[in-house]
Amino acid sequence: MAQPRPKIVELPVSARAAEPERDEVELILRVQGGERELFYELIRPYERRIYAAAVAILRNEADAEEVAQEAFLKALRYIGTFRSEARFSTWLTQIVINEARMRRRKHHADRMEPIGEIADDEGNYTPRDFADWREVPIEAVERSEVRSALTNALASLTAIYREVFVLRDVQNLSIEETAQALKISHAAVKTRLLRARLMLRDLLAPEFRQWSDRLPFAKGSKPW
Amino acid sequence: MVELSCEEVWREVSSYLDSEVDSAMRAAIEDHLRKCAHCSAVVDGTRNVMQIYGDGRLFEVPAGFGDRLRQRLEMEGKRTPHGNWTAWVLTAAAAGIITIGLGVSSGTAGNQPRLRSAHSQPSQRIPAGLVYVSQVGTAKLFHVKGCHYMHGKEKALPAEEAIRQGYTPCIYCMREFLGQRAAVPGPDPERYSKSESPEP
Repeated sequence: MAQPRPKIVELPVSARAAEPERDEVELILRVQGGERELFYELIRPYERRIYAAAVAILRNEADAEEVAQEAFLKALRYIGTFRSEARFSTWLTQIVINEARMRRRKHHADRMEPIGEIADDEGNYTPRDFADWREVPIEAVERSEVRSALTNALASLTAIYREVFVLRDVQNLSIEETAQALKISHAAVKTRLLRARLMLRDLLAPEFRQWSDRLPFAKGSKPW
Repeated sequence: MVELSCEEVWREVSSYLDSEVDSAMRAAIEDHLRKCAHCSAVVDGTRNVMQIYGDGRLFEVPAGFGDRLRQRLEMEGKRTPHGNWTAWVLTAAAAGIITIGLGVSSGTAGNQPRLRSAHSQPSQRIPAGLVYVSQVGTAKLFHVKGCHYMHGKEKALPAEEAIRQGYTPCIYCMREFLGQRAAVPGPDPERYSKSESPEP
């Protein structure tokens, strides 16, 4: 006889989304109140994001780990100054960006290299590759050659495009939050984001076509 | 419906994929994409790029990252006065030392408070007779008669003259001036007390 399925009471989507946020607010208040041993629990969901932001800016894993740690330590020291007008993740991101930029400036100064920060190009970006796009499945990221192509393509972008792309498309910050974190205008975020996305597509298209026989590519499906 | 050029579509690709275009623009873009394979390839590719990078698996933290981070946070917690009473005690002790140091240094300039350490007290029991002085390098020491640290080559000087010339008592003789037994290992104190040390 078939066992009756346990009744699962599901919270409405809005309540489910609000729950972790409520937990986070409570954790923040407790850490601010002196329970500093809870800080790791508070930041654990953001470890990867913060590390990713540091890698994207510094393009070096060892430096990125150190900078991410410094950013978390700074967040612990200044947790008392955090106000809930901003999201905690955005506040952390701002800290890591500042730390990574300081580290990058220091390294560039040591090596006497230009930082490569250029003014936004007002001209439109013209895509170069118009060949039919074969969709790369997300699972392909597990393959080392795909992972390497993706990180190399991102690393080849100029810092201003890389930063915007990582905050928006890797960290899923909104345009507004990205602008706030990078201290640039809403319009500058949109311009840089468009160029970053198109440049990455151009950089990756030939690589992915080269592997099309070996990877389980599918013709891109159009949702419209 | 407005007809868009390829350039106009490229300018809007990002906003279109972020659903940040109005319905009229969306309809115009989609109409263009149905007719233009090049722009379709651009939009397909851009969307795929966003999906792949947005998956998060690309940026795995290195092995042990969390443990190393936790260790650093714990160290930071220990350094914080609120988080650890030992840190508070050490801070208080350091403040005390600084206060004492300031007190001593200011005392030398004006009203001199009583020095705390017995070894810091002015000599009370300067030997009345002769002492035996020796100099090795810059170290100028004197001994009272009978000190076992003497090796027979010392020169005899009145005690006050030796002190005026900058000679200081050796560690055993110093005990005589302080009238205390230094807590240092050394020869049998009974032997020392039987020596012919000058009377105060």
